[in-house]
Amino acid sequence: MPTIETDTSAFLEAVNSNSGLIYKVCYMYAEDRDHLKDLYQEVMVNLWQGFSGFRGNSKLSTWIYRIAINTCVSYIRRHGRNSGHEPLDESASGIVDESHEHAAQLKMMYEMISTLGRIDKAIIMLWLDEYSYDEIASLTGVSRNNVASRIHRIKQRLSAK
Amino acid sequence: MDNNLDALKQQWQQLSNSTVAGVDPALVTNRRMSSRHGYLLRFYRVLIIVCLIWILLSPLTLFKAGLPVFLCVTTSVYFGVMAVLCFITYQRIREIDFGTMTVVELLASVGRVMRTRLVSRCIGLMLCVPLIASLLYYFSANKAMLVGGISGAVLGGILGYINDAKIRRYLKEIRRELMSVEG
Repeated sequence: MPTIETDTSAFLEAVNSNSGLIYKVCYMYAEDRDHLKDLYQEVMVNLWQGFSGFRGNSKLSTWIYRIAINTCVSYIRRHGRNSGHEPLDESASGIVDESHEHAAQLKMMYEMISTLGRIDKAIIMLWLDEYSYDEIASLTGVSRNNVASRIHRIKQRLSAK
Repeated sequence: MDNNLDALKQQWQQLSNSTVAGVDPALVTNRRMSSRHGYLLRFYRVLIIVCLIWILLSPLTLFKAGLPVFLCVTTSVYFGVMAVLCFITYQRIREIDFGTMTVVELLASVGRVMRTRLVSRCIGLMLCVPLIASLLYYFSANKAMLVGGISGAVLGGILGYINDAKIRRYLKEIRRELMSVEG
């Protein structure tokens, strides 16, 4: 029978090996640094609370992705956007490699993605991580055709940048 | 143009070791840390218990204070209705499962919780305004109680309105997202 210590170490191992994935999802939905921290913490707590219920029906990374997206999509901020919190603009360098030849365009693309609706953000993130349309449809609950047309529309907007 | 998309994809996938400073995953395993979802569940459990207690306590307290029987009974019924509404909201919150629901299912579920909270508040308001007015009428001999009662009611009303406005804005956004999926 698994002990709490076993669960904790397994959980920490799972989270540490997927920390980049969790960070990316939270970054996409965050409005500023405090919001990012709140989202990250909320995702961590939801992961821990659901960890014992994970039966291995899907890949661990997919399960973590689902919880991270669901947490961020449903999160309501206590305070408004303009309450003096540090913006994420400067920290885009934390997600964009400044030495990359397309750094400026990449930043603009991230800014454009940040203006998308909650569901569209989830779809484009999964697409960027090379999930199939069927997998994206299964995770988001959007029909496959709808996923395809949304991705097409978003790609057109990104290409225009 | 496609080069930029490929660059975006490549760089996105290469992000692997980023973490958020100040959030230690090990601390999350501490039982005291709770998510918003967990907090809401506990909040409504406490609310239900408080309402159930006041079903019995309020008529006794008010009767002892010399208020008419019908008012004591009405207050008890009010807390009974609120206990039922809180229970319904609690059940809706329990339905939310971050680990198995799709994004659309989750948004719909969260929308149901928000709508239930708004409807409960409306019903609660419709019942409690005449009730409070009646109580204040009977307490009007005591100026301090009257002023305190009116101030509390006004402040509670303003705070409730502000909170409701936030919930309505969020509901509007969810509805827009869900309609875009259906369309």
